[in-house]
Amino acid sequence: MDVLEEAILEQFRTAVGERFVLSSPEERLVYDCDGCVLLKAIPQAIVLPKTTEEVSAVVKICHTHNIPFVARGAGTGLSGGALATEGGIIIALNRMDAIIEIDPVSRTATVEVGVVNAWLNREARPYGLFYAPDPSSQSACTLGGNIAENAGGIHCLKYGVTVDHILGLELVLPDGDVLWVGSQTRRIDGLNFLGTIVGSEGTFGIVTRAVVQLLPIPVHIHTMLLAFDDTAAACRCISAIIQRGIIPAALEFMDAFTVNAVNQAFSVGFPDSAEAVLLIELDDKTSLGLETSLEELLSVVAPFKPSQTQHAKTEEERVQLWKARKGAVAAYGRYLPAFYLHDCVIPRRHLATVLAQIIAIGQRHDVLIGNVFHAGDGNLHPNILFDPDNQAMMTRVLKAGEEILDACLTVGGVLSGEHGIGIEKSAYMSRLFTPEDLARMAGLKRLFDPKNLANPEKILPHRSSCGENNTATSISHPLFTQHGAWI
Amino acid sequence: MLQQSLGASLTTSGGKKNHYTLQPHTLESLQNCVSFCHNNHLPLQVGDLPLSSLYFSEKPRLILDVSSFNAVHHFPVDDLLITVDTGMTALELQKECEAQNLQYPLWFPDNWTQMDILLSDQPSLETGFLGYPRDTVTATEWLSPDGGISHYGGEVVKNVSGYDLNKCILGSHYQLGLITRATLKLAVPPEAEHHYWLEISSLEEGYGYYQSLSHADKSEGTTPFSLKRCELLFRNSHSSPGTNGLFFTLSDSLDSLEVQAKRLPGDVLKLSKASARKWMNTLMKQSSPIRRGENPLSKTHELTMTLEVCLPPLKVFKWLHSIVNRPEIKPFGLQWRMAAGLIYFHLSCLEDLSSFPFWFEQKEALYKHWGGTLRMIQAPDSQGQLMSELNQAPHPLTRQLMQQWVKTIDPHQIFTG
Repeated sequence: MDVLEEAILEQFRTAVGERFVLSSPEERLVYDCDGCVLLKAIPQAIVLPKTTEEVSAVVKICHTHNIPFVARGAGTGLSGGALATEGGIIIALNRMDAIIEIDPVSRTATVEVGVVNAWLNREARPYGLFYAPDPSSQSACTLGGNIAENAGGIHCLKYGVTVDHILGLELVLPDGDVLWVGSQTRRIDGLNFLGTIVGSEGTFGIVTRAVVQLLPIPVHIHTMLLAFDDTAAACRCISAIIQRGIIPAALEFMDAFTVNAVNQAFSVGFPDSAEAVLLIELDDKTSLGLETSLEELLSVVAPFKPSQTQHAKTEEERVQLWKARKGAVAAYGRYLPAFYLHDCVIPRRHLATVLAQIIAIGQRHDVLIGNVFHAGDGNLHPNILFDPDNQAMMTRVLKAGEEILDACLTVGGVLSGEHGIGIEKSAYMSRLFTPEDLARMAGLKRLFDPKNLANPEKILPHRSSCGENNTATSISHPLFTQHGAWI
Repeated sequence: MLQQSLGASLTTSGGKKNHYTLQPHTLESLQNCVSFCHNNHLPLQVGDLPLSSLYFSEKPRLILDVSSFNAVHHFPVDDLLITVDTGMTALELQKECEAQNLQYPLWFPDNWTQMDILLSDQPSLETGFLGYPRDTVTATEWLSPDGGISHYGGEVVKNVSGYDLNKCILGSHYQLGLITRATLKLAVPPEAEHHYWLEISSLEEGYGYYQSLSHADKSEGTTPFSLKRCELLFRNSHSSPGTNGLFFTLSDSLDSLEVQAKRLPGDVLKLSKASARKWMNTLMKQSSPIRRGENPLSKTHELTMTLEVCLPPLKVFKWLHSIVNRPEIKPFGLQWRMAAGLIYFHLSCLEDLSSFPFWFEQKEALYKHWGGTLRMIQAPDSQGQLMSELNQAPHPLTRQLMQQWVKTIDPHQIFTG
């Protein structure tokens, strides 16, 4: 895609300042992909506003000239949601990085969306508060990105995902108008647009500020590792824990392949012979409460005969366990340089069946798959490893990915639990939704964005906004099938 | 002829002139009824939520009775989920759950339907601890005003696949159509629940007691109070609606509740299950638009008006102090759902409706300066229109967009009149 006309670039420069409009080929190349490296698209320019007013001014220029725009935070998204696939500009919000207020009485923070997730936690800690959603990329990802994707994380089993913690937000509509939804409470006034805007991947406009809920930091925490010789037993154990009504702060699964990868990468000494490892964290506001929960948990776990139980006795040991979990995906780099990460969610009762199918799919297509996922939520993360320079492998990887999605949908699963649909899974939407469902979604998109300028072609399959439906039976998105350079 | 073509039974309704009740028995006949009204631009009242001007109107209309839609469709007990038709009442739902030793986490009066509860996103007495009804829904089947059916979500507890239209329709007060089926999250019931009542003489006293209950765990080695409900009731004169006291529930294992009971002050009265249930019924019916005719305050205080304010819980006390002496709201009865930051003002407005402008001002002030919300829950029949206006979203552009969305979905305004 060519660079924009000079006259339009000049308007952007007037709006945000000369330094904050990037248009050279080298500068544009930096923004050609996000965390989903399968997909690439070079934007026509990048604009970096500092304030809501500047975002509004930039969007108004886009509206006048029919230029598509894509909001972007840290670019850590995993579904190609921050790509300018239809040309146009990227509006990078990294300069909007102020924590405007932390109100310990309301237990809220008002933030600009370029604030990095971990920064907010650092600032809230002195008040004894924390922001609960904790994606693995929390040291880099921005709150704006978290809001766009309705991000989750390890501890969202107990505390909920992003939408459960956003109380209000400011949205710049695709015509440049600015609106506000929500309050500092969880009560909703009028229709719950707030809950729909969160997770809409920047397709309704650009969120510029948010009021987020903070929670008291749990004082008493216990983290443990359970190793199993049998994957199915580990899965049944997960169901039994939930069925007993115990809600751990985190309940994570790692398969044997992942355990070996993290052992090699971080020397954490996870049981090498285990077929599956569960990482479980309990927290409570009192030591008595924690002891009671732990006792109950251990009684539930016992019949599943874990081969090893390891309790974190110190904060350092706990940090080490989570470091290994959060770094698991990076550890796959020891095998192959890139990964294609899926994010489907399935009913928990089907975990054992679907995991077995995923293993079989990997063997059938001769690809390496590592499974490390949020087991308590049923949120799978099969990582299919690949070498981007090996075209034959790429074909097998895509086919395996498609079969994994189908296996999940067959048992009543959904396409994504926390990474969003983006461009990567938009072609699959018609497998999950009927034309009527998609038409209703398209109607909502039209309400906010009648000119289809805000992050176009994301979420909805092509042409669904016109009432048509993509009935593809294989990955049919042009990014996957045309222009080898995209992959 | 109408009955035959719609596949639904038709009866005159409650002696009201020109009001007829349609009772469809299948989803198809329900769709027929809605489509019929859509095609003929006929107003259709569903459920019992007086939050649109239609409810108060004397215009001829059809009333849809969904009580036949009360089946359980799927009950994956292992996943603590249940999928039900939303004509199912709260009692029917709890019975289904109890048979599997589970419970729906929020308690509602027996005869309230899931449709009314979900479409009003009605806070329960447990909301401060366990969330709103919308937090318990993982999937819905949505019948739109043109008779079309769509589905969102699944039997999964986490989902970002496409736009979350569940969020949009939950709490939409029938403006976008009906939820005909829903998948709900369930919970394992606690071993026991104990209910208590404490007489109080001032707001300060009640607030102080709540603080001591909720912060008692600060001293290490002490069993925390496992609060599940805590409602403060206060009235500023004998002629005001309501009473003075604190109703609260502790839920935990029997052993733990015994330990906790020993730490409660001596003048706390332990309530029997039946007595607590009466309280819960009263507290819910006074603080909800659902089944307005059953509100005990309407019976004892004719033309009672109820307003709901929601604030960050720790700001409530300060806000209350800024308002309780205002002449516009005297005399009042107050119901404070403490952990949720919800306050219900019950006003015996009688013929005096002069406080309406005051509440419009308060809504603005709450929105701008306190980060709170305000809505009217109950109002005299004559004030339906004003109530609808007060309950709009405060930001003008947001309000406009919402109205546009409602108009797109229901162009003939069959649900909103």
